[in-house]
Amino acid sequence: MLQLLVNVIVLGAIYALIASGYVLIYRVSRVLNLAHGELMMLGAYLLLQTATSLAFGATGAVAFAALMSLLVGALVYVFLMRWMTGQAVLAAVLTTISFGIFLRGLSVLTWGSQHHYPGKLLSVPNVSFPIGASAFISGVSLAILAVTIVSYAALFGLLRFGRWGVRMRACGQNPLLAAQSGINLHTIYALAWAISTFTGALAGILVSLETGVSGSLALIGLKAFPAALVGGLDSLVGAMLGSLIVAAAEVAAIQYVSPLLADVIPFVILIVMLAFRPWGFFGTREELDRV
Amino acid sequence: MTDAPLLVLQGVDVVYKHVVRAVRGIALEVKRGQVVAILGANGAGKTTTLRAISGFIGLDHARVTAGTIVFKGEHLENRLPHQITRLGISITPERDKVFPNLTVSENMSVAPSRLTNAERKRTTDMVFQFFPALAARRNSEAGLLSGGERQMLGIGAKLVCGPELLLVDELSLGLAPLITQELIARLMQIKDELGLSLLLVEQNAAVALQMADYAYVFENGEIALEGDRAMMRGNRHIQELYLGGGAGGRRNYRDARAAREVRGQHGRA
Ligand SMILES: Nc1ncnc2c1ncn2[C@@H]1O[C@H](COP(=O)(O)OP(=O)(O)OP(=O)(O)O)[C@@H](O)[C@H]1O
Ligand SMILES: [Mg+2]
Repeated sequence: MLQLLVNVIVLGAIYALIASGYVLIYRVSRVLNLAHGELMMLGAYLLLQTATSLAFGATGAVAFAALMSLLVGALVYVFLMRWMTGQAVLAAVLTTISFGIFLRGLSVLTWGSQHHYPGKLLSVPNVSFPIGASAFISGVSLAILAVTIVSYAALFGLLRFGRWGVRMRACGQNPLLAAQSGINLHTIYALAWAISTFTGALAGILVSLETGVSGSLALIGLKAFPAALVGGLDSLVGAMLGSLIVAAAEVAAIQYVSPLLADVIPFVILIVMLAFRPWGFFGTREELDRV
Repeated sequence: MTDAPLLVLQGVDVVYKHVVRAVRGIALEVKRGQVVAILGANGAGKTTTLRAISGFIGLDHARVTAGTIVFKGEHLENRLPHQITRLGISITPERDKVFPNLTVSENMSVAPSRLTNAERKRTTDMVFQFFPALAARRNSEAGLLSGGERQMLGIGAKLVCGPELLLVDELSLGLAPLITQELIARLMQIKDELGLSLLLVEQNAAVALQMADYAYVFENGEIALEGDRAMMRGNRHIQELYLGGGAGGRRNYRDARAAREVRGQHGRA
């Protein structure tokens, strides 16, 4: 039982780390980034590439791949999404879908379709720590937990108190007024894409250390989308709770019904949510509460 | 060239969505320290003209297709709003002039400024001093402010950007006469204190003529009439059309036709 709880929290942390990226981009630009899963996967492949071609240690390789992802996010905005600014939101969302498909193709061409284990290449130790009498948590899972907590604290702090974070919120509320206040919208959007890709890639990188990387990693990214939506797409608190809900449902289904349900459950929750409360649990409260 | 006007528009056309021509051949100028008003009926193109000066974003689907807009020797046509703000023009728009989910102080500090930190702090203090209602609500969300307080914040937040020319779209819109009078008084004090120039759009001609040194009357996307305060006050047709001196409805199409005849009689200043 305790082990189940640990599993829920770890899976919830993974989803939450990914979901924060959906929320950030949505909050700042009202665009749903459906390439987020692929960008997360790309982060893991960047780690693989770093591990094979550069002589960094494990920590150095993780940091390098994550920083590259920050750059990738900004470049995706500058070279692709920037041209969607001012277009219908649907056009922008379709662009992210096409871009995601493109990234999948590109990664198969570059890294093949087999499963890779950057963790082994970097000889990341496979340790686990006991919790109480009957449960264990792996070192990588602990790292994921820590990274998620730090990321959320940083994002909250930025949006609430940071000069650039307040500007991001302003752009999300009224891009025209923000521009008229002297804020360069492109800078803000590029920043949002960079940060969002960074946190997504961190999730991909950390997950790949334990389970390896292949095209299916993008699916985890996509499964975090229901988590973001359940909480309300523009709320970080919502994303955190939504992630826990989806993780709990998934772990319970695997344990008590069938492991085959693992990839289905989040989308069942998504459909139920879309039918009854499409703005999510925190979507409207967000309007009043900020951050 | 100290007496060159601060802002000069010549022959400006603005087209929405490639087809809708909202204004045509607009020529106007604002001198340093001057208060200039734009008057006109609904849909005459007043907002469009202000927006052409302060810059369109992609979402507006609008373009300046002809003419020039020159501010301190720099061409502004079709530049982005944040670039224009940096040059020293700020706008308090007609609607949505504050960020509702940001607090009053966040609204005051969100924009990049042309001022030094010290000047910026001084301007912020000045705004709070001139508009004590805002100071009292520093930490509440702008979405909870009254219409008058929003207007104060809409103006105050732009003053902090350090503009030389402030554009205000519909200062008096939806405000009680008493509040309007107070706003006018404060704005004129601030203008003198900071050495600002103002370009105001007004539906309420009485308000405009109370503040403005010079006024332009728009009609169907063109300038129908212009003149200084004395000329505007003295003009019988202006009195009838825009100051409510005449009998019957104002600002309808027939009146606009009458204004065009006025232009025929007076020429264009
Ligand atoms: N985004 C837009 N797309 C298409 N046409 C527009 C757009 N905005 C304004 N127009 C048109 O341009 C013309 C001028 O509008 P504008 O808003 O400048 O008028 P206004 O003088 O400010 O009117 P009001 O006093 O009602 O604010 C109108 O005919 C209007 O329908
Ligand atoms: Mg208008």
